[in-house]
Amino acid sequence: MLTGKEKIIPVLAMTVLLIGIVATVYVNALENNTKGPDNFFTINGNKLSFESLSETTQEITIETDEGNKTGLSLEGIITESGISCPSCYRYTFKASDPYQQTVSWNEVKTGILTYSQEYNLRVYFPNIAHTFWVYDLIEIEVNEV
Amino acid sequence: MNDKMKLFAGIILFGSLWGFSEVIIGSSLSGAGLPSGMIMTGIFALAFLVISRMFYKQPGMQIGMGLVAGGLRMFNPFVGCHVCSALAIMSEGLIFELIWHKLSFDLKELKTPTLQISMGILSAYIVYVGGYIVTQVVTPVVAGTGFFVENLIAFMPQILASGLIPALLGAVTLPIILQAKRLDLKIKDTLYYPTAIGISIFCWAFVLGTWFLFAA
Repeated sequence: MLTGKEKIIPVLAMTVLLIGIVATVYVNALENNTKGPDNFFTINGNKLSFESLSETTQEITIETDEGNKTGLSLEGIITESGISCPSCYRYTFKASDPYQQTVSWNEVKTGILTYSQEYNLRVYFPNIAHTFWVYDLIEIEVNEV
Repeated sequence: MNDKMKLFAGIILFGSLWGFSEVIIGSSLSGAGLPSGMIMTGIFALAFLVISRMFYKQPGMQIGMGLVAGGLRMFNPFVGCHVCSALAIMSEGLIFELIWHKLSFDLKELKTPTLQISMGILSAYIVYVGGYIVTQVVTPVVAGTGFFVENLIAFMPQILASGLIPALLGAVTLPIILQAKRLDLKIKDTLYYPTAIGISIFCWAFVLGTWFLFAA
């Protein structure tokens, strides 16, 4: 005779498997429908390319716990995008997968944007956890604090 | 007193073994391009958690193991998000404890292969996904940037999908580990304490030594 636990454990296991399978199908469908990563991203709806920014934005090197990283200053990119009061906003870095992380202007000021074959567009910050190093970046969303 | 000392030594021993495997084996898997977090949870974490529960039969032990393993993971000399991984491991111990607290310590409920496979799926999936969610919530708070729920919601499908591989690994791991129930391991105190302390010291010395060599 099966007890309550013996009945419910297989049901719960099937449920989590189903959740995992449905989520996997959804994620794969989403990836197929997302435009392939390139070196373009948007800030506040304005589409920018890494190449064009390279000509106008200062390149800086920051020290991280994975060594020195060189890229375009995020402070410069935000300033050039026409945001008049950068400290009045917080910034959400969105990836194509769609991972996203939000940081304040204090963090943005210290960060850089890089481009590589491995990670496409990627941001690095020297003083906060790697979880904020968003790669496959497609958008920087600017929100009021 | 003696039982408490034995439990404490067991927490340090199994926590150190778990943390050691996360740092050394996990980093090697990651370096080989494999999904290390999923494999570590679906096989190693589940194995250490279930074995320790089977042999010590003490509530709260797996929470302690998670704290020890997470602490050791902070000293990972290799690349990665140390804070996130340490938080994930610590929360995995707690989540495991919550899932298993309704089961008896002799695990008499898991007598059929179907129940063993089901419990493996359930444990690995919830432990992995739960740990992932905890890191997404706590890491921004620890980092001082603040937690934004919309960031978690946007990534939730990926988090739920990422639990599938650990769940499938858990389905295989748990029935294998439960075979160890047949072993009647008895070890004298004179041998238990030196072995537990020796293995724990080795794990910590190896990780800290590598950390000093590569990172410091």
